[in-house]
Amino acid sequence: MRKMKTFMRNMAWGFLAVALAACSKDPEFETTDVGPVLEKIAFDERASMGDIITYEFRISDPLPLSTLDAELYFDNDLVASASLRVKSDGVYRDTLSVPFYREIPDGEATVVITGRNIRFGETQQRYKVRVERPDFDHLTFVMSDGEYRMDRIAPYEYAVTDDFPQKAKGYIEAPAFASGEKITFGWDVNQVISGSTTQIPFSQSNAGECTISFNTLTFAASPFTKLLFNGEEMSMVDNDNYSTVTMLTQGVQYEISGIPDFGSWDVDRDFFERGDESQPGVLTFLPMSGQYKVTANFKHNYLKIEAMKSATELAVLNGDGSGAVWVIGGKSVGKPSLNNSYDWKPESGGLCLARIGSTRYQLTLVGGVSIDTKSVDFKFFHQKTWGGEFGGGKITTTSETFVAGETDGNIRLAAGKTLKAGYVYRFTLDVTPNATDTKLSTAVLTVEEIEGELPAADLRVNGQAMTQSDLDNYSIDLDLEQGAEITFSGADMFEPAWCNPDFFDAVSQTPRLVPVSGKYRITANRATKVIDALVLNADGSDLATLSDDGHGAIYYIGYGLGSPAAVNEPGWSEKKGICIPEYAPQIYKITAQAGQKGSTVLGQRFRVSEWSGKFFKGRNWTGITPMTLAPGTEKLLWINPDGNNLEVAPGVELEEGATYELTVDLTGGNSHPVITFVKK
Amino acid sequence: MKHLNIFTGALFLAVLGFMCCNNDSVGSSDPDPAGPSAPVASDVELYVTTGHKTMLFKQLPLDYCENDPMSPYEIRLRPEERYQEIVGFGPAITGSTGYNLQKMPAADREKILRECFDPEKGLGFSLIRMSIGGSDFTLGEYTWCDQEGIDFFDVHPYDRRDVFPVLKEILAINPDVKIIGTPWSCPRWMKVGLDGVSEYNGWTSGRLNPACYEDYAEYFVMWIETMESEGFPIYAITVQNEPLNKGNSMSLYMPWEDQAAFIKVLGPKMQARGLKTKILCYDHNYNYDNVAGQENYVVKLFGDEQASQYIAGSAWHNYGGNVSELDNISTLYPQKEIYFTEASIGSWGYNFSNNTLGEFESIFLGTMQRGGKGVTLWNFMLDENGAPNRPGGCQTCFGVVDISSEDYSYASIKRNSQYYDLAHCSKVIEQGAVRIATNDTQITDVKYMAFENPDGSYAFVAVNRGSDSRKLTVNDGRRHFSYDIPGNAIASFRWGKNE
Repeated sequence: MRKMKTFMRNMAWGFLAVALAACSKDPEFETTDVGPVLEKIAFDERASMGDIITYEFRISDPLPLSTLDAELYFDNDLVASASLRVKSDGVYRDTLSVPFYREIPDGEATVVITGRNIRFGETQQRYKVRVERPDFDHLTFVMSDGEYRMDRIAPYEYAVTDDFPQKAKGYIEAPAFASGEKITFGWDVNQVISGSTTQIPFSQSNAGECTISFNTLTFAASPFTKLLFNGEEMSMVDNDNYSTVTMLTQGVQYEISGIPDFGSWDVDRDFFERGDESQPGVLTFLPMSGQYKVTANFKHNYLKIEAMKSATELAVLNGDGSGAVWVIGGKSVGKPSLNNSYDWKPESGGLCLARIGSTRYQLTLVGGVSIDTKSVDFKFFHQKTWGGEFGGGKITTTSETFVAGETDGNIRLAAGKTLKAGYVYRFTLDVTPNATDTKLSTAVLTVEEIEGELPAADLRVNGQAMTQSDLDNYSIDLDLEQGAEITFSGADMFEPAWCNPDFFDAVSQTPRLVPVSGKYRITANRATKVIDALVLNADGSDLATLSDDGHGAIYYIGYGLGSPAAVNEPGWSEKKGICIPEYAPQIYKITAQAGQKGSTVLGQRFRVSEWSGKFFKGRNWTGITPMTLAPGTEKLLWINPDGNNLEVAPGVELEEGATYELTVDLTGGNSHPVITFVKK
Repeated sequence: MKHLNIFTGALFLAVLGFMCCNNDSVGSSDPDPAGPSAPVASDVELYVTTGHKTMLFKQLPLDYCENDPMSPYEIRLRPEERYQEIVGFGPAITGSTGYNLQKMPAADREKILRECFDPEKGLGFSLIRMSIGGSDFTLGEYTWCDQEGIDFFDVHPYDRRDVFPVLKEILAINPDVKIIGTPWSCPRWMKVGLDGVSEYNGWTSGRLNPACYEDYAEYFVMWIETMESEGFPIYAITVQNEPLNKGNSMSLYMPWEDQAAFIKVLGPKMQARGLKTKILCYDHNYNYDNVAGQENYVVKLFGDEQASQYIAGSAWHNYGGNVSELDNISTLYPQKEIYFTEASIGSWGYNFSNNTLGEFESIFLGTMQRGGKGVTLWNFMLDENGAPNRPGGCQTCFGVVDISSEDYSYASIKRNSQYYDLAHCSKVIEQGAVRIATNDTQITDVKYMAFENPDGSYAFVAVNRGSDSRKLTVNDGRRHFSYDIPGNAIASFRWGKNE
């Protein structure tokens, strides 16, 4: 080791000698230990947190100058810095931003001003700055639809009392300083921070009068709805999820509070049973006692329960059959509904089975609601991730409806089998170890089918109940008169997010039918809150087609037009053709906004560019050709001679968000369609 | 104006830096890390150990800051929020340890014992663990009642020879040292086979014969009473060392069902005899050794109300699983105490930096974060061959300190990672200290914890697992200080004593 050290030391001195010889005469590498002359012209000796410190210095040096730097220290910590390039002697002015941290007391901070020349000579001067937290006269709570003045009610404490929605999201803004600087307070993960305009998710139990408050010293803000499970506050995981880990005992009642509409929430029936309807938050725990994580999910309005091994670790299947079994699958299973299904993503879509016996686990799904009725694919795992699994040869079932894959253990529908919408399918997995299977490598699956009905919602049109076709979709066929009022009602009728304007006039409070009198199928989707319609033929047996005399309905097939949003364009799939109603005899019209390709904004049905489509007499390939463009339309559209498709004119892009009207006029006969396209 | 050449300067600095690094590497090869450095007078007691051994429990001067406490990265103590009371930290005093210590010249032995146990001038170790009868680090396999019949109970001569004298010296140096006793095996005549019925006569494995529960409970009571009559108060006993381990040189397989049943006999007997000694259950790994049916061993015991009423808490080893298992225990049974009672180091993958920093984080901070009241490590002093040891036991273990069997001199003592881990807690966290909350300021790569000592001083321990130094600014509400904790280092602070 000593020899090695000597060798390395000699090498270092050798490098030093070479460097000295090589560089000693090169002026570019000369250095100096003398810095520029610094003279303070102006300096803010007091500053507010959130404001700026202005400084002005005269700097001079016989050598070329480099920079005038400033650093602000709170205690020994650098909290802000600024660097100004200075090329020649003179007076320079710059500013330092003073951070606005929570709970930092007023005090003397230090600013270090450093002047540098290009030969690395530097001069430093240190200045004390009295930094204080501003005690604003008021703050402003900024919501997307308005601003509210928050009065100062105590030092650093501000509040506003007003009518607010149940979720009052907004950020807080302080009055501008004299310098023009303005500090804002917004949300970051689960706390308020300065310098952010991300909306703070204030919330209260019910919409109505409430006081929103904020403290600029502690950054404490309120109100945030307290969710209590069995008296313990649930912790906010993110904006949509609150959870708690707790011991749950079989047969014991627990109460959740703080969710105003909890009565409409889905409670996992494998784990909890609701009792009295007048107390929807009172739940009886059904599986074996143990430690569980209870998560209130506000995105899907349901209560998720997962078995835990510890306060922080999810349970796994233990060697004696205790612990937990998990299902991971494709989008064919999801709780509380298929709207919350994931494509083999265990962290999001893993489902915990309820332990109903020492070695028996249960998963209950409802056809059309939480399990696809036509295609099923999932697998049982020992943990909520990849690893131990009941794969090929490790799981058997006597079910006639489901099969366990011989090679992969995946649970699928047996050949020719489908599930019945609304029926309950209860999967019970027995993982009892036996003498030759002490490592729980095999399991027996039984599936019970229980007759049931989908819980139909009460949706009505003109007083008549709509029929449920699957979980979220409802429809009704009606004879309607052009201009007649159409009433949407029923206990579960929703405020539509979008109502097709080609069918329903949104001008009046009560919608009226826009197209000509006839038979229509009105559809409602509870998930997307879209109300739409289709034109039916005279006897209502099928969708309308274009009759030889130019009446009925026409369909757009191709790219460029989707409904209810551009993302829904049919492409060259005739079964998805967009139905365009007869606005006036032999005239068909569609009105929509323009949106980017793939836009999911409801109503943005025209793509801003890259159309390619045609009109057809039905959801088939009977075309309406040859198209002619009405005068003026050629500025926006053209008929591409290569294929005779309707396209946006070369070099044209529709204005995103603007409304356009597309009319197909067949008054000259079905073989003389005239296309008009105008910006409204 | 003095002109230098930039390349010259840079290269000079580079060469200088290289030489400093070289000095570091010389330090890292030091085969015999030093003991505590000389005391330093300053506002804050600060001790630092780095993974590459440039500082080994080195005391450095550190004064309070005079700047206004405006740091946004400040760690503020919140003594109004209080957690568990600390019992202490220390090593196991085994028969092998006693054997080695007594091989030392008396003055040298006193020196190392004072270095470790003296609460004022030394490190103040205040919690030790010892075996009830033999273990894999005694001079043989034995109990205090090897002849059938509890009437034959008596102090085993090995313990009187190897352990008692050392215990006397330790308690003379620090009378506040608390003792946890643990059996590796019951007397063989109390055993049956693993099936619970067949005859069994081995030191290794077997189960406790239910017909002997009364006798074995009496054995525990007599051991505690005898130890106390010898001047060794027993703070706690664990019912069985590693109850799910059927191997080792001495062992007894005691599934939770057996332990629950036995505690229902032991607890009432100890109460009837007026003993205040705590009963700790389990004393084994976080992962329950993956024994089917024994998952949640401790939770199952605590859930058995008849047994649980006698159980003060649980004891844990780290040879399997993760310390996060204690989340389960502390969440479900916050009133039950938690102790970490055994971890070993040895020639298998030993790396001073990894062991010192990693085990400080997982064992010390990890258990105390979850309510742990004390830590004992296995075991205090072995020789350079990991001896004396037993066939079937650990042949490759290191001690907290190792001593040369050539001369058993103080000078030959090598202090291993466990020594520094114990020192960093024991020196600044007194017996009776209470863990207190902080504002939980997050500092990259750094884990830390704060305590208030009975004398009103504060203790703060931190470990930096990153390679870059990190600034720690600690404020107790009246005073604050800053220290750049080096990369891969542990730092312990104590301040405010008698202020």
